[in-house]
Amino acid sequence: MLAPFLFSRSVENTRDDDLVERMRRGDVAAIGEVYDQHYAAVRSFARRLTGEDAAAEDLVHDVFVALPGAIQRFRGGSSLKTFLVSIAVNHARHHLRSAARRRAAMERLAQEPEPRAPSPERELSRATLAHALNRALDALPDAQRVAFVLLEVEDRSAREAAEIMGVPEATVRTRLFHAKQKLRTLLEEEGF
Amino acid sequence: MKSDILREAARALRETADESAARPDETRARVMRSLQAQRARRLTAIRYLVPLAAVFIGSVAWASATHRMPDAWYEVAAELGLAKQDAPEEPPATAPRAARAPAPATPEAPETPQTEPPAADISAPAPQAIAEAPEAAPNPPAPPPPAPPKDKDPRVSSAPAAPTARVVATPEPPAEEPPAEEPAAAKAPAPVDPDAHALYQAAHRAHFAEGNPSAAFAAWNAYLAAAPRGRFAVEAHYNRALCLVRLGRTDEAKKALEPFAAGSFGGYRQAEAQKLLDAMSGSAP
Repeated sequence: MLAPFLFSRSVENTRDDDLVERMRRGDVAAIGEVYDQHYAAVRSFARRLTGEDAAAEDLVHDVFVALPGAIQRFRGGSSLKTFLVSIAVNHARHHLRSAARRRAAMERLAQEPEPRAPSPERELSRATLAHALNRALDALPDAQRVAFVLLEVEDRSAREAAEIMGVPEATVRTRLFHAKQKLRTLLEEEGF
Repeated sequence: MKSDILREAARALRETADESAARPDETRARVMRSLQAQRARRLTAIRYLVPLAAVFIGSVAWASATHRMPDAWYEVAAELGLAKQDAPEEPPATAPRAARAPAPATPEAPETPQTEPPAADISAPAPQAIAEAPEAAPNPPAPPPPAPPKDKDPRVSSAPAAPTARVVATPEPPAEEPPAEEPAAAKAPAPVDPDAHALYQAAHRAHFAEGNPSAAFAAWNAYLAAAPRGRFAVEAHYNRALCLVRLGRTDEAKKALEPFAAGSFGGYRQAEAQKLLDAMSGSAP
């Protein structure tokens, strides 16, 4: 029963190894292949982390541009996808700052587009809640924000998050704990 | 309840993020453009920086090998253990000058205070005799000293006249024959006997501090035997020649000074050697 799963895992690993080897040799086409395979995952994480489409695309761009240099440090201890997400975490700071600044500026100028709700009220409340959470996340330190997004939004395990962030699991849990505390307070202040 | 709100908010964020419009093609094109630009920059850097680095390294190596670097360079290299040399760590007086022997501007070299002491000390032999040339010309004090040259070296002119007499009065028998090595050998310094340092200091002391040409001559020979291509070999050869002049061994002195006068050492002491030779030729029978 597990055979197909194991077989597909080993095929995926072999393909990753091959791609990694080609990237290490400076094959730009290999970067393109990795992009095609993992764009969705990296972009999804970037979007959840930054809360902005443009910032997410910029972060994805930075991740794949940094990949040829970063791949030299890749030891194969994790999957290529996890490695790409960890690169995104390392490059996120600048984009998080930019996105937070833009959101704050929009609010100051009252130009922040109200989350549009295509149809029912539930959609409106969901979009409003997501928007409020993004604003609250802007108030957190980057490390806590990353921990919250990885564990609570992306539903990753503490172990995986620790691997991505390059810190012990206990540290991840502590960061998540503090992040949740602050977010609760901030959402409460927002009236939720 | 609050926890539920947070969970709900996280879910809302996940869903809205997933629904947002991605631009994979546009970003892919940007990534590829950036990678190509990055590659082009790297190639450009290699194309220009590698030759520049090679030229720089070559220049430094050449300057270091020919002792054209500042003294501090050699001191630091010695401190770091990068340079194997027989030269003293704090070369006395003329040492650093000698190290830069091949410097093109010969006349300038002696102007520095460091080179002054040797000239003044050798007084009797050559530069001093030359310096006193104008005055000494009418009444040459003694036969052996070199004849007064016409051109006066302002640097040496301050040297006391007394040593001239000393030269004459010191017909000490030559200590020992100098080693056969030619001064030219000193052109390319090479690592030598570790005792060379002590030998150099002993020779320097005998020559400059004690003013004993006989002992100094023997000591310079000993140093040159230990470090024929040492860092201060050129200076040692010159000082040895001066000792010969002071000892009255004119023929040998001429032979030793000729390479200097001919510029075999890149102009080091060329003018002084020439003046000494002129002076000795003038006084020679």
